[in-house]
Amino acid sequence: MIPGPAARDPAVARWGAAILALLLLTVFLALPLAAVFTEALRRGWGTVLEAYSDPDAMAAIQLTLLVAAIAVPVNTLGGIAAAWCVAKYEFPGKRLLVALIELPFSVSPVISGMVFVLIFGAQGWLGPWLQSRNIQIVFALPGLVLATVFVTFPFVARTLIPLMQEQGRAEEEAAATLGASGWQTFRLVTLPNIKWALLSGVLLCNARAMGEFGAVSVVSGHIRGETNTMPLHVEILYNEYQFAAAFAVAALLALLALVTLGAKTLLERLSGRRGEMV
Amino acid sequence: MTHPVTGTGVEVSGVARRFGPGAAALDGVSLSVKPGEFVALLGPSGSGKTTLLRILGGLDHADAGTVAIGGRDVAGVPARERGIGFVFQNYALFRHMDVFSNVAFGLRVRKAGRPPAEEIAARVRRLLALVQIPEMERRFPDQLSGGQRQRVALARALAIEPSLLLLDEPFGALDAQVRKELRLWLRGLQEEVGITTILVTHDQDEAMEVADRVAVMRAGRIAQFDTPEALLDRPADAFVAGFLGEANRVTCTVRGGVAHFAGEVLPPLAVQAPDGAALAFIRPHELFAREAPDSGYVVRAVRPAGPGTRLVVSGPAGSFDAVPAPDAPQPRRGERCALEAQGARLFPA
Amino acid sequence: MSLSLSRRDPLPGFGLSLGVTLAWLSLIVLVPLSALALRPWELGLSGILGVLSDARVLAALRLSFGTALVAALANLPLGLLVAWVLVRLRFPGRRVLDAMVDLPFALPTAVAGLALTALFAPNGWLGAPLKALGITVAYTPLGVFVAMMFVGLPFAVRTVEPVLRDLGTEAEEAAATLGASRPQTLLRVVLPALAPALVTGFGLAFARAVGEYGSVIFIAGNRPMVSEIAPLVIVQRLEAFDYAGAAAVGLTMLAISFLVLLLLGLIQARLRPGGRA
Repeated sequence: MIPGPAARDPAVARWGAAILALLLLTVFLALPLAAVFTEALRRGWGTVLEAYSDPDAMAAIQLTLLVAAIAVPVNTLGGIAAAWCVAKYEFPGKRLLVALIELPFSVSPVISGMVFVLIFGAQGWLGPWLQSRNIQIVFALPGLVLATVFVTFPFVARTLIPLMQEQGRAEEEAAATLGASGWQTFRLVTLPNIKWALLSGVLLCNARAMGEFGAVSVVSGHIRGETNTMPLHVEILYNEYQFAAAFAVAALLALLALVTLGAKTLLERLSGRRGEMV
Repeated sequence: MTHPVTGTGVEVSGVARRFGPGAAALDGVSLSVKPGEFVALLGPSGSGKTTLLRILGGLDHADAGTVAIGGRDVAGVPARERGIGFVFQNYALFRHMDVFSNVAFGLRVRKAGRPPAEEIAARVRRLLALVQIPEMERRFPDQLSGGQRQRVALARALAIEPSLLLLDEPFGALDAQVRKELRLWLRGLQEEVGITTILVTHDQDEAMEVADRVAVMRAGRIAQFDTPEALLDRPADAFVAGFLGEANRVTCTVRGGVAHFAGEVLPPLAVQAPDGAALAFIRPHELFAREAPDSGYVVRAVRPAGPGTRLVVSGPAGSFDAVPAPDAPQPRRGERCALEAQGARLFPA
Repeated sequence: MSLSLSRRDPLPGFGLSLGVTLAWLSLIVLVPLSALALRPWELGLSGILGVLSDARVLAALRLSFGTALVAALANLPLGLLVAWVLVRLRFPGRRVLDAMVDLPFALPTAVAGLALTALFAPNGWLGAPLKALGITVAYTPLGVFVAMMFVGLPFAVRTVEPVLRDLGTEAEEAAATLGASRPQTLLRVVLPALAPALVTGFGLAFARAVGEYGSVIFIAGNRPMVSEIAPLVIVQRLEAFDYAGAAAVGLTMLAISFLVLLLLGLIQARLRPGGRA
């Protein structure tokens, strides 16, 4: 890919472009990240640890983990099922199905949260019915989970589909002629072939599930210690001018993002294949 | 694998298959393969040969007709219960398993009657010795050459002790040299094991060389099913005659046992054919060229071919592949010459 | 066809996987989205138009869509530059740069919003020097623009990058042998080949920016009629239990986005080889 002399730009242009790109990305991407950690540590480690050990913060961390622990497996299973039928079979309406699976990515997070309020909220379609039975969906854990599942819906499927389509179905057919059952074929042949991509998709799904703000903000109700996830907790702290604590919790989330990026890069090396986040 | 296994017979009758609208992939195919026989399905791409093979293997189904393997109708028997060895076009080796695990796969996934680990190991090693790559056990598919992958695919298919072996363009992805070596080796192996074998190919040399009988397929039908010699000597129709071997095609009219070529491009030829318009297939070795200064034909190219010489001769009526007449001096490039057919296969036009 | 397939395909699991997929898709995505499509009509057409003609809603929609368009446009040259550098140059730190491009995807939006606000606040690392120049970013529409650019950048880079990689250098070398100068080659050979990808990148960056919430609301200051984005208007209406009004704004946002993406698709069809240019 490094061009030969005929298609090469002058050294000045090449280095100029590289330096300009590096500079712009640094200002645009690295500086904000650095700002988070700097702000978090402005008052020293003591404040940071204090922010984490605050009961509301602990509750937020626990809730975030709980929501992700439900949403990620749901979307992993759904994503695998979707990738299997889309990649291994031909059927009418397949393109539409793929487009619908990707739909949540093109919907504003606020709208993603709102649709559940429209159904389950106090003025929602099922609101009165739920209220009469004392079932809480919106402003409670189920609503947070639903909104999170919605926004992280496509990650696993869209990571797997191109890979599985590329791998075709010859190996699965070979397994069938050798006497393997469907489950054996999936476990022994398909799964090992997609494991790195699957892991990568799950990681991205998890990062988004833990970091989602807009959608959960709409369904949360912001009840401290009960329905606040970590990103929501950051907002509350910030609005209450507890900047050090806000940035401390934000730094934790930023760390999660960095770890996810690192793991994704590592997985790409392991699988020799580029994963797509876009 | 050490003792010869007698394969089963295959009876295909009236099998049809259609994918969506348009021409049928298979249009009423019947085929009878004897136990232990080596049959090649030969045809251009799109002729339906791979579809037929996949139906035999249970990877596709027939819309109509029946398939019996070893006397049993296999409609509704899924691929995994057929016990048929299938070698895929690009081998379809399990890329994340080493050679040993690939070959052992069919034995390991058995629910009932799975052999103990030592027996599996012993059998895998016997097979790898049989396909002559005993030292490759721990390699992964992407560390093997094309020929080695081919051998692993074959060993894997044979591991389940199939009574029928199906091969889909098994040499398609290999270099010409490796391909020739492997097909001779495959034929030897098939004779040693005695397994009924059906091979799909678009390469006529390959089909003619390895198979006992060749089914020439065209547009979802079997045009002719016969031994290689019979196919060359007595092609059933113009398609088979044109598809197998090289031939000059000339339209002609037959009158009283003599073929008169259109435009008199060649001298009349005595033939055994009914009167009427016909298409003549004249093989290069049946077309003699001899020097003739006032002829309209000119020798365009001369190239050695085996023991003899091949000529490309062209004139106003087109270009012909011919050989020098044995009783005359060999025409040289640029010289004028006359053409005379010694024989031809005629099909009504 | 699908029926015969599920019964006779040698690979089992079609019926099961399609069933699971359809159930998952319907319950999580389709049924909830149908609520968005249906709820606004409770107000009737005149009611919906009433909501949309509210000055505050109009200002918010104008800000969201206008700024998103400009931000996505601004991302194109930047994305092109970064993609070019990643594909064509080898230099120490390229891998870090490569990983860094995905940061706006991976970083939770609230964190991004907080970070940008800290950076561009009047006393921030960038806010202070900019203030000296008389430019205020935080708590103004300019802040909205910065946040939207931040979230859109990876789309611009990642859509152009693979196309540039596949393009190879042969066409450029061919152009050089035919006597084209370097700028001519870039303008006439490379840029047209990248144009469809640039349109895709623009569309994705735009769609993301329009709907963006977390990254924007911290830096925007959210002053009504000035720096208040459409998603925030939705949130406010929901909090006031005006579900139909909120849904009307949301549906309008989706409809406009859809129209823009449709238009981009048409432009793209014309840019592709064989399209009527």
